[in-house]
Amino acid sequence: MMEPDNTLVQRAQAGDRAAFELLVRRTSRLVYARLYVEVGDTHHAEDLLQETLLTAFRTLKQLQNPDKFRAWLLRIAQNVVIDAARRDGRKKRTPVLALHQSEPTTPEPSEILEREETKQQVLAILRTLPDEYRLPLVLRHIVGADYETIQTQMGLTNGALRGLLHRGMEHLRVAMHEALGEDYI
Amino acid sequence: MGDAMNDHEWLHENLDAYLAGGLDLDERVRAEAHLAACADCGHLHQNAKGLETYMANLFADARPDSALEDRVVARLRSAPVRRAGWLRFVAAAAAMIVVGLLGGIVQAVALEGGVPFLKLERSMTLRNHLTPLRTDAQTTFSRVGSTIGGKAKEVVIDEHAIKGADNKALDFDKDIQYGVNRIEDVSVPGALKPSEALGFQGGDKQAPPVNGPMQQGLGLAGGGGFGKPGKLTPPRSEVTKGFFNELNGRIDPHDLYNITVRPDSGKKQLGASYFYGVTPIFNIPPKKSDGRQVPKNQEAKDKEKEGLKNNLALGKKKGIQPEPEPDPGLKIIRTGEIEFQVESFDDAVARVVKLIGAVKGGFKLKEDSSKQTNGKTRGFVVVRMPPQFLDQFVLDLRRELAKMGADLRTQKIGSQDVTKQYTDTASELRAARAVEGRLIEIIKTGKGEVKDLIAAERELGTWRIKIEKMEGEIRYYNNQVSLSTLTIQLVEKEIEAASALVVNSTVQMRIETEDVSKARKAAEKAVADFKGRLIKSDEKQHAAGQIEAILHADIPPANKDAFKQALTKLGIVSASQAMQAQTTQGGSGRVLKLTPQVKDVRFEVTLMNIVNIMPKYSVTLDLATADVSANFVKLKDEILRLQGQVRTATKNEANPEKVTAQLSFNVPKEHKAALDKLLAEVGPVLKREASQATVTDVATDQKFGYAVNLYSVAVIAPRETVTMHIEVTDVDAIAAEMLAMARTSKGQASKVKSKIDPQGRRSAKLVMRVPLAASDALVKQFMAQGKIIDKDQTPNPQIPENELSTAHLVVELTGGDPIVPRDEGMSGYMRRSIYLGYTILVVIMTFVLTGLIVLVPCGFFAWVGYKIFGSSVFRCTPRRK
Repeated sequence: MMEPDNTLVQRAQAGDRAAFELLVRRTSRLVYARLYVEVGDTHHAEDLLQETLLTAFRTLKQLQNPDKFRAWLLRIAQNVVIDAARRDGRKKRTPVLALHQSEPTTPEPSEILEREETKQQVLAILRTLPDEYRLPLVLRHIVGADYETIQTQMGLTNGALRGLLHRGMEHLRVAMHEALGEDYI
Repeated sequence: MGDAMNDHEWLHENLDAYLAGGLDLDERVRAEAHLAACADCGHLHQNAKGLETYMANLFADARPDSALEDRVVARLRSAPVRRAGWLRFVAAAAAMIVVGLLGGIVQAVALEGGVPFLKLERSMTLRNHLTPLRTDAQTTFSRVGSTIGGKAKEVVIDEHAIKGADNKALDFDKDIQYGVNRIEDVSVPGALKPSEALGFQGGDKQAPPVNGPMQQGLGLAGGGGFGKPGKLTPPRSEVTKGFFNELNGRIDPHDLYNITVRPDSGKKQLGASYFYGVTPIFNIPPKKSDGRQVPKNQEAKDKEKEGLKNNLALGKKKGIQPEPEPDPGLKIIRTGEIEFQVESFDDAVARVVKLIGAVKGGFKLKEDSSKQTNGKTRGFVVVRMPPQFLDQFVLDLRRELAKMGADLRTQKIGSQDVTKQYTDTASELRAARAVEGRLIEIIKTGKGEVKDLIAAERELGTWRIKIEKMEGEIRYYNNQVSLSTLTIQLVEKEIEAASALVVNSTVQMRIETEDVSKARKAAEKAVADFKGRLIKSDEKQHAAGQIEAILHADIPPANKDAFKQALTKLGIVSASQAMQAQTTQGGSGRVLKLTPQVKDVRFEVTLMNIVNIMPKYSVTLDLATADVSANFVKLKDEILRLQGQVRTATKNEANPEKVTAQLSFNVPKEHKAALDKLLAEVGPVLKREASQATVTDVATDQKFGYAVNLYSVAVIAPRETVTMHIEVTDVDAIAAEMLAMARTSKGQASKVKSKIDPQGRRSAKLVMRVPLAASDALVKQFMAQGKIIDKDQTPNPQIPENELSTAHLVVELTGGDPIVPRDEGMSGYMRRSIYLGYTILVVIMTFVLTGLIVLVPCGFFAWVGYKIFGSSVFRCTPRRK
């Protein structure tokens, strides 16, 4: 029987590192998904994931309601992304908007360029969706998680996830159809 | 149909779950069945699948591998653990306080040589502890003193001990150590061992026997003592009961007390002559509720000692059997060695035998003695007795032997714990016995082959030997433990009287005579006349014509003075010295009444003619003279005329201007006045040093020694130096005029220098040497020549003032207005500009430095603050959206 998340959170808050590690295993793909949507780069996302978890670990005691661990964690991730963007902006003296990969300086084959463009488009679409729909989709299609993993990462029951997945897909299909036409199939 | 309709809707909603693998087996079957049946749904399915593949292709490189979690956790583990913000703040604050305190302490130490508040605290703590103790001790002892001896003569609180405690009290770790040290400190003067002092058994060889109530009082410490405050054994008499109650009521269970009863050796009265002291053994702060502070090994020893002492006090004084050992399993061998110096060996042995006879279970084991070359006996007696009587026996023995005038040399009482060896051997023995029994059984039953039986027999033999050996050991231990061994070394005191007293006299004389040979002959004749014995008679003539004779003779004591009288007639006795030495022969101690044996007087006479002897008084003179050479010759001639003796005469003419000469000579006493007159004519005395030959030197006052140094006047330093700086109109003319003036006053110029400086000004420097008498007049004349800028007149007090004294005149002349005025032209501008630039630079530097001094610490603290709080407070808390 799997230990519920909220007791794990309580244990971690009491200083149990193992409990926290378990929580990390249950949420890191979710956070990763969230971060990837924002930054669009694997390595960058993983670095930010690390930073998010570290921050979470340090400030875990500030979390009042253990049931809202995931929401809290995602909020930290959001802050981390903002901080990182600000940092990068400072470093490069470029506007904050330059969140995503800077354009390659060397000429690339047009196919790759196009693909990259599509990717950004899809990510932009995903970013427009509400969090609750977006995350299962990202987990499913970008992170490549199976149903059970998504369930664990989201901390949802099977039924709840089905609904979210279905409605999320509906949104995505419509949005993709609008943006890319029929050629994505 | 409705079912199919339902299926259709259901699939619509669950198609994505189906694709993701989120359906269980039944649902999957249902979904697949419907997909096969419904073309619409099939199309939808194809679309969804297509999207899936599309996305998978598009984001193939975005998919994290399966090790993502492991990687994340591993990196999390290696990340440094940072404390919570408030904790870090507290830590930082504490660190700041520590740094501040450190700075304060450093400053205090540097400025005041100590940490004032710390000192105060320490002395206060101690005083709080000491004051009640002191009053307690005082009242207790006056009361106890009155109970025992009528009245206490004095109550002495050992301030020194308290001070000692003061010094050590801060060092908490050493408290225990200190307690033990104090036990050693309070041991009775006269070499009582600490173990005895612990027992509080007064007993010095000079002290009266301790008995009656006193002894009871001493017994009390058996259970009290140190390390167990508040657990004093019940008192055994009314007197000590009082003492006890006093103490029990006042003993602070947190403090350790060491109670000493010390006999005051100066007073012989019983009772009134005891010194009591309570030495608190400090224990600050109280560490445990039971107040036990003694280290474990020490505790064990105490237990042992206490047990023994209890036994002793009860067994000896109450006449009852000693209590059994506190731990019957404990096997302790007590042995002692004690050495006395005695008047008579046999008497001492008799006393020892008598004493050991009185001890229950005690006996003399061995006696050994040998006669030494000095006729005295030394040896030892070995006695054995039950261990509980050992201490008392040693005390008795010391007291008894002290009565006989014996001195205690060394005392050593030791104990050896053999419990382990004993129990080891005992258990080995038990095991061996078991084996033996088993072997016997084997042999008895007689089973097995013959050779086995023989082997068993052999085995039995070796085991029996082992058993015998172990039984022997056990017996030995029991013997050693049940009886203590005390070896008493006795050495007779030596005869130390001397056997003879010899008086040797020597007379040394030195006689000055005109004819040494004649005098020697006369002296030899005198020796014969006075029945003396001539030992040596030498005569020798030195290169300078001095004759010296040495004569040694032994003269009977009766004729000593007459012989001496005869010698004085030979010439002038310049030295006479008599020595008498009295030596004892044999022995090393007191000299008994002996008739001194007076030996012949040895005369050692030196005869000399007067030339050989140096004058007793001599004088060294430095004379200044105008003509060294002439006076040198004149002096030499005069000395010879006056029957003087020239020792050295040198003249140095290396520099014709500065001729010097040295003359060293003697003149007979009667001609001294004539010579002094001549010396006064030669010239003024610069320096005079009179000296006298030391008393031990061979010297005569018949002649007078001189060492005269003649100096040319030119060599002598000036009496006065006058430096003048004069501004004149025409430098060259005035310089020439001044030189002319100096020459007319019999002076001479030693240096003339003139120059023209860059401004076109002339200057000159004149150095002149003029007679002192003329110097004032010249200076005045010079000053009249122009405007005085400065003048400096320095007399040299070491040079005497006489007609040959000189003055040194240094005149600096500077011309009037230079071609270019001093403060004009380019140089003035440049100087002012540089000065202005410098001023501005200094001002700016000052501002910059001040700013830095203010800003650097502020910036530093701001940076530290950001480091401490910045990252945690501003970034760790998630922002609310």
